[in-house]
Amino acid sequence: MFRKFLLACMVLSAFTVQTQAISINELNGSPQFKNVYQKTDSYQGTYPKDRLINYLNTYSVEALEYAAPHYKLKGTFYTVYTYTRGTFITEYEVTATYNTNYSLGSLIHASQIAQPSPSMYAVIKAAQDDSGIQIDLREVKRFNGDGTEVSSTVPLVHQLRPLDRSRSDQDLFAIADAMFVVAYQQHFDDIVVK
Amino acid sequence: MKRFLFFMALLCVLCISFNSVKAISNAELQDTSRFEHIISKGDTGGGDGKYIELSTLRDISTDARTKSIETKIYVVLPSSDLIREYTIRYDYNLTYSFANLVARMPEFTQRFPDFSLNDIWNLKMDESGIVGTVKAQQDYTLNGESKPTQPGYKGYEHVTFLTPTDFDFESYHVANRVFKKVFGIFYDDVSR
Repeated sequence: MFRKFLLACMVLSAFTVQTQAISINELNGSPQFKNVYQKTDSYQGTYPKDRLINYLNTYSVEALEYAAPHYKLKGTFYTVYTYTRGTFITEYEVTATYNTNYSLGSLIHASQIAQPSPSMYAVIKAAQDDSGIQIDLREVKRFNGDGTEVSSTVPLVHQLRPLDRSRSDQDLFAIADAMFVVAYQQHFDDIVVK
Repeated sequence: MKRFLFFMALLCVLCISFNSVKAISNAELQDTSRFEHIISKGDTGGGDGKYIELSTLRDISTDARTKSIETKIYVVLPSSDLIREYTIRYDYNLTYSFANLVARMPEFTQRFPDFSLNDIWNLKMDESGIVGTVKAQQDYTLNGESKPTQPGYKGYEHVTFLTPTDFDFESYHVANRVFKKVFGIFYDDVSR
């Protein structure tokens, strides 16, 4: 009886591991994964191009809070890194908190009603000072391109911070915006708080 | 031969005196009638900063769609006993001003139904609309003595305190400020 139970546990755990693992083929082939950002770094000389692609699992997006202008969404995304030594996938879980008072739409609207001559330059400064989005980013797992899990002693990333509207956060901003589109069928920056 | 040596010596004296006239000290940069101090995010608060020499601001535009300005800007780094003088040319593509792109939003959404204001931000990230080109640079000590200009690191020659003028760089705001000094309006407020 006990042996049967153990056998059942092994089968179940193997099945669970298999369903949680993710491969490059699944990310490219399944419509639930949407490519929301990609970047290719080109180095001069003999270095080949490195590529990064972010896939949002659109089925994973769930609304945690809705109290306009504040919103909170949670989702899972995968970053695929392609180097010369191979392809690696990292799974992240992200919780994004949005304040649509700082969307570009809201900032432009506020600028237009606050001054007789609206300053778009002031909008840029305000948006660069506060993007309106905070993230709680947790690295969950690392995989090889074929979906086998990578065991590593390198600690998993955990960040809790505001997003910056700069190149360094462009990928995470794209993820947060794509989650907003999945949940509310509108881009974050197109929301206008009046 | 004697004549040649005499002329060479005269030329050297002239060069030295010419350089000493052009040299600039930190004390002179505090003269607000001649220089405008730009307070930048990147400043450490240790007395560093950027100064526009107001008399050197020149509108050199030749094209209706692009405004061009040439000026001298001094970058002060007290911890390195350094004042770096840049003669810089800025070219502003008016089509890419933020106000102009925002004004064209209805046209963009008509052509691309999923176009978002965030796409305008990303467009600016790809191409800010401002190109800064350093024409010359010269180093001085804080007291205004000329010192040899350090060459840029190999492969990074285009990276200076004022260039490139990418949208998310502090140098972009310096270029916007220079535009306002000449045309009375920030570059990103220009709508065509």
